[in-house]
Amino acid sequence: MSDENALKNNGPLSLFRGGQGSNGNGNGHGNGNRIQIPEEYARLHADLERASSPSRCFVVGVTSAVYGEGKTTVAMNLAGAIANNSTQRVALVDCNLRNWDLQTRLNLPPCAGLVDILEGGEDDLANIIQKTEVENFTIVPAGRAAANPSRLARSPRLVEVMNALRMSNEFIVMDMAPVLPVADTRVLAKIVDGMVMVVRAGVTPREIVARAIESIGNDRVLGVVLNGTETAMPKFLQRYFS
Amino acid sequence: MRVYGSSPLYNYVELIFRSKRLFIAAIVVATAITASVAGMRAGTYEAKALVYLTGADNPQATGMNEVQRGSIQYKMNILSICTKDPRWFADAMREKGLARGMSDQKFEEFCKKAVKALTFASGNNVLEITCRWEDPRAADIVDGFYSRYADRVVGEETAASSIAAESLRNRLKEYTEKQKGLEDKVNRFKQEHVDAPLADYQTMLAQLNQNKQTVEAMQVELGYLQNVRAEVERQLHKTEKKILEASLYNQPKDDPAIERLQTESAVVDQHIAELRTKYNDNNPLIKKQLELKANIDQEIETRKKIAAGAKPTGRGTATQQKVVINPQYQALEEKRNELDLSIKEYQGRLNGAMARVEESRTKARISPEMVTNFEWMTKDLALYTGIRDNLRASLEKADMIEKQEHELHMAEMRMIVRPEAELEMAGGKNIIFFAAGPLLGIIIAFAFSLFFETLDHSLRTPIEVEKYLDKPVLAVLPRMETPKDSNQRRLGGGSDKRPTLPS
Repeated sequence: MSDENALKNNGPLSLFRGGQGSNGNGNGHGNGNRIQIPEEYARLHADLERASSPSRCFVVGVTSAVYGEGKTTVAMNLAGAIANNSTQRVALVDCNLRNWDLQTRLNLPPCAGLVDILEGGEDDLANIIQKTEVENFTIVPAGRAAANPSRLARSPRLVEVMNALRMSNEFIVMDMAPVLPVADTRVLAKIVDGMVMVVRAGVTPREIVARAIESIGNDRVLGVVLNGTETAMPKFLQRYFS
Repeated sequence: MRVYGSSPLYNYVELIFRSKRLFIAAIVVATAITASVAGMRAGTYEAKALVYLTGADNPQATGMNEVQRGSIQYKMNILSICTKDPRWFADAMREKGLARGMSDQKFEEFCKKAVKALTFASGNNVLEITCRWEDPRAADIVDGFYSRYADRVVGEETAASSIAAESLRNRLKEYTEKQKGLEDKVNRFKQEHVDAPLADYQTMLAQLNQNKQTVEAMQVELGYLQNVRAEVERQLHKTEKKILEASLYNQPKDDPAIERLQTESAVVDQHIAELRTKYNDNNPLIKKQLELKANIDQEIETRKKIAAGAKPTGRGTATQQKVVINPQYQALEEKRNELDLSIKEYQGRLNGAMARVEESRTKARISPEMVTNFEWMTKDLALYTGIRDNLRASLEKADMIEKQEHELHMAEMRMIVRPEAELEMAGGKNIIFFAAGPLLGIIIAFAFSLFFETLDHSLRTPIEVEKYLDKPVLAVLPRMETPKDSNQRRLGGGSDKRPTLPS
């Protein structure tokens, strides 16, 4: 199936074939589960919709306890699923001010981004907003790595940017840094409406995840996305047990 | 245990498939180990012996009484003692000849190894002795052990009768030595008194009196002879030693010899009269004196006749006579010499008689004590002989009892299956070993899997997320990428084409 057809049939998900976590663990959606994965993202979208209010923009932050859990991929696919499954305007914002992974994954050319706006290098927000093939889907890249991410996270300029984005979108998906290694996410958690914790199955100890949830506030975490689950049981036995 | 689904079986099956490498490795290793063990055991020899512990003399009897149960327990205790005594075991092996050609140190090591190679199992009155060894000596080890063990059991069970017999044997030896000593003493006593048998006191006294009388008579006789000699000596002094030849023919009618002989006869008469006061005429002394008197009287008559018929022959003149020895002097001298000899002989006989008197006196004095001692010795000898004979009879009986008990106990415990060395691990046992290997591997792997599962604190299922984090699971995204795809992407290759966004 060509990329254009895939784009038409499966939406923006097809754009994100072969995404990787920063640790290179891989959670690409290969030729296997083209039916299950979109359904999961649709479920995630539905859950977030339940938590949101139809009259105002819902800002959801996607984070994880440690690096390499697949939060960027989840954020990308979540934003794509929202854009594909509804007419709501959705913006994907790269708030990982230390590791501007989103831009690399999307193969975007070097351009100005959120860091430039926050540091004052760029005044116009419209200059950093990147449009996509999908009409209701925009991307706000980080632009570059911030010199002082913690300072920028507390910057009032960020609040202004977020307020401006809230005006023009119904959904904002923020790709954040991991909780435990850095302090930015704990600061940024105050400006979002809810957080989604991405956990890699079979890798991250539960105590670590629990500590991460506790550090950003238990009431702020809407739920957990369990990433990279697998079963070792052969298919014929799975059918027997199902 | 992780919960993947509603069915507990699902969780265990999932665990097995997730740890499949561990299971495979464990099965392979366990199979390899059991195969190695089977291979090692295949080279060993096994010898087994079966022994009836009790009642072997009556195998048809059903059930066991308390005595038999006690006997079995006793034998098992002895078995335990024997296996823990290295010296006993070494003796058993030595008896079987297994020490041949080995130095002391090597033999000691052999015994240590052999005692560990022996195993014992008992039940239903049967004892099974098994030995696994690297060569066919396994059978000899079992046989040697059983032989000495059986001897020990029988020895212990007949200990009472053995001790009794041994005690009797020692006592018999003691009394036999005493009896022999007494017998020798009695025989020595008899040997010492063979010439003079023991007699009672009265007999000894009579003997003494008789000897005394003999001495007295002999003293009288000696006195007489000495008197006669004195007379002959006196006559000899009176008689001329040498005379003229003519005087031989002019014998006076009065012969002085006749006077002498008459004097001598009178002395003999007197002596006879003295003897007759003590003895009768049958006494040899009196007879001898009478004979002497007769000779003297006859010589007197002869000389009287000669003196009566003697005439001068006138053969020569005084001028033609020579000096010759007086025949009377010569006769008297001969007589004196005879008397000296007789006196000397008599003196010797008198000394002997006096010695006999002393001996008789001594014997009479100690005779009662010696007789009493001899009587007691003889009684003691009879007593000890009786005791010895009784002990001998008792010992024979005790030996017989001991032998009977020994045979009884030997018959009670018997080897019913003799040990034969067979090469182990034929057929079925190999299969069991090879089947046990994978099973053992599965069990070990399962145990390790459960252990590792408890150590793994990661989150794998939505149920665990909700259980440990108390948060809803908004999405479950499966892992679909293969390592090959991951490697290609990491290296920048692959057929994936990233879409570019419009500027």
